[in-house]
Amino acid sequence: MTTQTKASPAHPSRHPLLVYLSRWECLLVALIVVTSAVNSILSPYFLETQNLFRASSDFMEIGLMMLPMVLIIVSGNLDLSVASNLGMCASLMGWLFNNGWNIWLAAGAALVLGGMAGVLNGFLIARTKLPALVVTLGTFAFYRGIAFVLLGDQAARGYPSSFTYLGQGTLGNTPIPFSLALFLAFALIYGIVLHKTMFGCSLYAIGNNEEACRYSGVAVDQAKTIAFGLSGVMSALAGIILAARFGSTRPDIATGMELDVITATVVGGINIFGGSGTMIGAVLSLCLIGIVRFGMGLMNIPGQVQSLAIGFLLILAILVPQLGRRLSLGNIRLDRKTTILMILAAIVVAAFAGFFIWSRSLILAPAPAY
Amino acid sequence: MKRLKRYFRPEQLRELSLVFLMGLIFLFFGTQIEGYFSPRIFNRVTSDVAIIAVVAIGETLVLLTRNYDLSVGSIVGLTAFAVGKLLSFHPDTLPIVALLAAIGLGIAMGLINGLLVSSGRVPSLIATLGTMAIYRSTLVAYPAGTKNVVTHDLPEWILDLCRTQLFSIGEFKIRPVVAGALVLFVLFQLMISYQRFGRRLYAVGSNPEAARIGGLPSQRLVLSAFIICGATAGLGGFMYLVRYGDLTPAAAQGMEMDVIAAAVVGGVSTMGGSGTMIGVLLGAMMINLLQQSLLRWLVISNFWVDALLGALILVSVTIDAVIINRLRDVWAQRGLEGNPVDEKKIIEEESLDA
Amino acid sequence: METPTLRLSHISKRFDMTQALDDVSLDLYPGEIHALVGENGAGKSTLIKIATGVYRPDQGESVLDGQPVQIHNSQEAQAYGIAAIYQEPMVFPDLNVAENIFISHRGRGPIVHWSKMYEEAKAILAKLDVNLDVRMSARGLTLAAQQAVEIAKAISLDVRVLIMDEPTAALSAHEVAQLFALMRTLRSQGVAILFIGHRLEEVLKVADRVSVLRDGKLVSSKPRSEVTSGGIIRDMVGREIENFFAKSAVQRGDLMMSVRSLNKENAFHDISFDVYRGEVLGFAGLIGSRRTDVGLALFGVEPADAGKVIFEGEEQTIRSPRQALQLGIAYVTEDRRQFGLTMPMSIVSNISLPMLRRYLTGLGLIKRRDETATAEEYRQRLSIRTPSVKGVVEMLSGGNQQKVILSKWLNTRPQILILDEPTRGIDVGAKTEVHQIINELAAQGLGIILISSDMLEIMAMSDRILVMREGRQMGILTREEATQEAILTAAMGQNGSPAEVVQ
Repeated sequence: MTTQTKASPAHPSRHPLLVYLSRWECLLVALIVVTSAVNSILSPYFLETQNLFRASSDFMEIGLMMLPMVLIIVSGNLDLSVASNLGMCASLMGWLFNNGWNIWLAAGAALVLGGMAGVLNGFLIARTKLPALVVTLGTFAFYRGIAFVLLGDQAARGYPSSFTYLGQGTLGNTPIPFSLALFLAFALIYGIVLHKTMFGCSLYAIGNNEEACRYSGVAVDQAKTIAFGLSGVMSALAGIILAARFGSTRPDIATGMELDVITATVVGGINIFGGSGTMIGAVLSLCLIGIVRFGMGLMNIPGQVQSLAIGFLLILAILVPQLGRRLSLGNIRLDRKTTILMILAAIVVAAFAGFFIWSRSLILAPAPAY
Repeated sequence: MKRLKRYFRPEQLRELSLVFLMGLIFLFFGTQIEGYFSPRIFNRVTSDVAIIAVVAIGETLVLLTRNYDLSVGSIVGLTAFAVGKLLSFHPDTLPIVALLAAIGLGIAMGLINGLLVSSGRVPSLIATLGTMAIYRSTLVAYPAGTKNVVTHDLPEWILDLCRTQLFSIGEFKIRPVVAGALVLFVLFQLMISYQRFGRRLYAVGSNPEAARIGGLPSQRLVLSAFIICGATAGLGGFMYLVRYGDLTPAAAQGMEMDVIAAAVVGGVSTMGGSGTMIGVLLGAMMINLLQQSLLRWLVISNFWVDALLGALILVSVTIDAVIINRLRDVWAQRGLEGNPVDEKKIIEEESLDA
Repeated sequence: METPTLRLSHISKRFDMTQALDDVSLDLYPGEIHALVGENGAGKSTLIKIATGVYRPDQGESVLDGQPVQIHNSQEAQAYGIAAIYQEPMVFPDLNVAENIFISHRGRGPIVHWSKMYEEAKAILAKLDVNLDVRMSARGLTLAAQQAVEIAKAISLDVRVLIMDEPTAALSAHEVAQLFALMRTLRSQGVAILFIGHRLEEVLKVADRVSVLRDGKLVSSKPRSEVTSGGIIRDMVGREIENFFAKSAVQRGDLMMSVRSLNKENAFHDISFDVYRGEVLGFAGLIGSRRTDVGLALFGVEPADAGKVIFEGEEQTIRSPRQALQLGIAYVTEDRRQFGLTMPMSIVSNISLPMLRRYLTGLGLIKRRDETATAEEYRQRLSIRTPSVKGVVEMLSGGNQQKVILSKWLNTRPQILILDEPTRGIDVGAKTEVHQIINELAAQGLGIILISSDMLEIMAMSDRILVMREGRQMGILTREEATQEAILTAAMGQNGSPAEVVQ
């Protein structure tokens, strides 16, 4: 990868650095306000509480997978296999259910499989000393393949309503979805784990300088395996919730969802190289992404196309602070060649954007979900 | 033997083992599947491999610099689709223009990738994860008439290109795309072995910091790698259109995994700095051969093929990490001839200072 | 008065909070070795990076042959004939030696002629009297060999200004001598050399002119003839330093640890010694003697294959750092940056890292206040100079960073402290402080193993000295027996047999 400095403010509860971090979280809050305003102007349905709550349940699976992803990225690693893992576990559950298993037992089996898959990731990373990126690139393909082995071209259907409640139900008479409550509970737990426990602290240290941690007696491999194991379990849980929400499972479920999970984490202020970031930021950014996607959905933009905005968000979340930092340091040197290339690129981007907007005006199709 | 060890690079070991493995695959499946050695399979494999291999050329250049381009699948899809639509509406476009349009479009997308990574300092994984989504979304958002490219809208020469053969040995046909891919491979292998630009790509991946400080234009090198990657992806898109004709917006989705797998299995290091085009070609061939063989093997269901791809990546990457690196260090150590310590000389000098 | 090849004129550079350079002007004349001495930290490295175009100065400019120039990147610096050799290896491990030398050359044409390149590389290495196989991958080269390759590269580029950043830090005495011979050859060819070093003996041996940098400012710049070692130290530190190495006599206490026949394949063989309370056991030897490997084995990072370690009467097999910490063994690594500290984190976090367990509430949550209190305690005790313990370690000077590392390990309440090159790359003032701390620790009853390549340091600080050579134990000398010759003789095994083992 090209070299990039780690953000110098590291640990979240250091006072002078709290200032910097509040800035990122404040930026997120500001963005949430702005996008909400834009959305409410573009669509009258946006600000209705019923709609908002119902829409939130669309993102809880991403949220559940995001929580351990924060731990993983803080420690300087990456898990590309989360969506494939989700697919594999959901497919296992569906396949068992199709073969007569009780849905809850099947769900339990899925959780176990998820945990094992996560631990396999951690184990391979610790043992082969390969970058997490490379290992999870392999498992990304492998787990998805297993999903297809399990369910082939069938689908699993007909889940009992007690089960689909997990993804579709609300708490008592309130409009609050069960999955939202579940997510918030987990978010609280993960937040405490990250910021207040020894395990969480060591993740920050590992993300900053893994070798120094080994020499300091920190159980680095153990910490990594736990983090990846958690990611595996949460992926399975997300798969269960997603299957419950759809009422059915196909092996290609949640394809491409890792983009959203990683974007949510990175936009949340978690440094992609590890060593800094807060759970609050991650939750806020999930909120932001949810609002952006929901708003686009209200404008009948199909899910695949919404990914365009998410892609932009991901890139901008890293590019803008980078450029800002370098501008302030006066380190940007533009020679003629690069300037020409940049202008060319800007023209290309403008062309893409123009084309995109023009195409919007020609086609309005109903928005499919994942 | 010592001499041999010193000059016999680890990459060559990888290439040989791939050839060996393919031989094993041939032998094994030859006994299992009826008509395995038929020309049909040969033609199939070579045509499939050609596309992936061509895209893998560009991806390898990016990998050499210690970067990743995950957007190649989307670039292939987008260029194939765009050229397909272009030809559907303007059937009398010259073939060469269509080809250049595809490559040009690929270059534009590679340019964006490259600028994000080299000037924007966005980690390539993230940047291309984002552009992968952006390019694919652009494709999906394409309006204009029927959503898909359909074969009967395409001019004759496209369909002919798919069927013609340059020459044949009995029923074994060598198609132009295959020949073209081979030529490209030879050219690029020569480039990375003998051309300064290619060698510098290795340097950037081998030690990016040293490249930056040591007088190499690393930003420009990385940018060029991404641009070439976009170009080969665009070419791949053209080849994809020729091969498949009918296209949906999901065209070539997931191809980046095939391409990276080919490179990784072929010995390109995920940490940059090493790998050969020959290895990549062998890797692409072996993967495709294995996939085709398993598809025809009745013992296991077809759905295992995808899982296999992932398993292959994992296995080859693990082997890389464990075995080859250890071998490398052993070779480097044993071949080491540092400054021989001349003891008498030390004592003299020390006593002069004392 | 001839024009300097390169004049760095009124250079200032600021990074966030720190003023790294403040109006520094330096002249580099052709055919002169100009030494730059000063505290470790952003000052000298920043100057180098500005000279080679990696950074741009906030103020000031570079003047080449009397003409001001703007150097935007390393390629331009190369084109102007300015090259730098850094402490960290800057070779390309996947390329071979010849390619490493020529890879960044311009104007050699787009095609690489391998056989021609090999011949040219051989010729250059021959000129430097260096014996390396040019077709060999750079991966396995020793640090000294890598430096030789970098120098060969500089020569091949017809360098006019060669900047060397602490090139001798990890070299053996013989390699240093070779390096100085190379530098003298270059000097005779008219190259202007800027040499940055910490070892005063070396500086005085090789320099024609000596400049001192302190806190980002140039304090003095004099020709060699006008310079004294005391004067340099005074300029660097700003005050007189007395009792350069002070060793207070300490009563040797009980036997704490016995090591018998410790073995590790391809590392060390048959190492045996005892560690007593209150005693400083020095480990002397040339580079490559594998003393660090013994330390790493005792600390469990690279455990030994065979042998006995008896700790307070009980035999132990140490397989991990956590185990070693539990026993009461702590190890301060050579390399601060890579293994010692997590740079972007605060002093508090660094100090508490190995012992986080101690700061947990019943529920497993961290008590931040206690953590901070501990850090304050060590700040006082070791005189760590910093505005706040919550500050980031990266901003500290080398000496203060070393104190943070020491605090970290002292916080683990060790019985035995293994110090590996504790004063490498630290300015003289901090060095003295570290030595005082070591004395105090010994007085408090710790057993200390001091691994050092600084002969004077080892001789002054140790009660006994164990000498190693290429992984073998050559003998243990008492304080009286330990003269420089005796140590060197043992270190090189001149008589062909190890000196007698003295307990």
